[in-house]
Amino acid sequence: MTGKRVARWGLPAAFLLFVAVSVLIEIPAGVRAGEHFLSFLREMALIVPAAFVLIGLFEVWVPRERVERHLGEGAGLSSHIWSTLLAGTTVGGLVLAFPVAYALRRKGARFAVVLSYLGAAGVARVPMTLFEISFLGAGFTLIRYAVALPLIVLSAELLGRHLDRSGFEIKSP
Amino acid sequence: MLSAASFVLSLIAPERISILFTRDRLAAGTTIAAVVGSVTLMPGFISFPLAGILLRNGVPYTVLAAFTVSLMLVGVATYPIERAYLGARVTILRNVLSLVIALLVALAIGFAFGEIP
Repeated sequence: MTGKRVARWGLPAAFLLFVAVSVLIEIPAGVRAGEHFLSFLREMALIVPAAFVLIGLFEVWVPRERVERHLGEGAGLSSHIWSTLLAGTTVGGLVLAFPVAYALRRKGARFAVVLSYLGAAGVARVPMTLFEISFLGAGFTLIRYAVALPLIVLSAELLGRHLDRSGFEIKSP
Repeated sequence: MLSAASFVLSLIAPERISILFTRDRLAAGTTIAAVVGSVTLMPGFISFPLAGILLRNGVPYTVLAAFTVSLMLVGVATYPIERAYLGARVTILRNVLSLVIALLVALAIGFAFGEIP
């Protein structure tokens, strides 16, 4: 228990102390670390509340039947196209995709679709892809999509079918 | 977690680490890149500019693919969050599968860019 407490509060405290000392006696690496931290923090503070509002609206506005029809048990491979398109709109990475995955599952999406959503939320986010193209080239992005997306759907189907049989359920933390 | 990522990032000098990743040590470099990408946490607006600098300093596409894809898909740092939703077993399964996918993408990129003969 105490070990967890140390990890939760000790590390950030040590980091802030290090940054503060760096600013005072001008260690460039420490100052840079502080700047990175602030930009991360600003990003999170802007994105996280908005994302949870959208998830809340999804809970209220999207009828369960619609999710079940397109992403549920009866829906075939096309459901992965929907989940990938939905994942493309994700901002901020996997951390924000987990609550969406939970919401999708609650509305009746099958596990394979939830998992392909998570994978695609990792590799096929549109804003991130634009960054990638400008720094690594469109060829790189094309090959990455062409290889990663089918593998994600395949692994999602394999793991998802296994989970359907095992009585597993996604929890809300 | 944010503090740890900021700290590690401040220590990296892209020009200096580029010499570690060369085409004649592709397998080792790709493995290291996949491990680093798995354990670190970095938003896209930092990781792709970094990858761009590494590319200009001669780091192979294969290595960059392993790094960026494992960064996007494998989350060792976010394990506690993911476990809260998916449980330990599914979290580990998903991350292992994701690491395999990252390495397969790196392999494909390596062939496509002619870095793997």
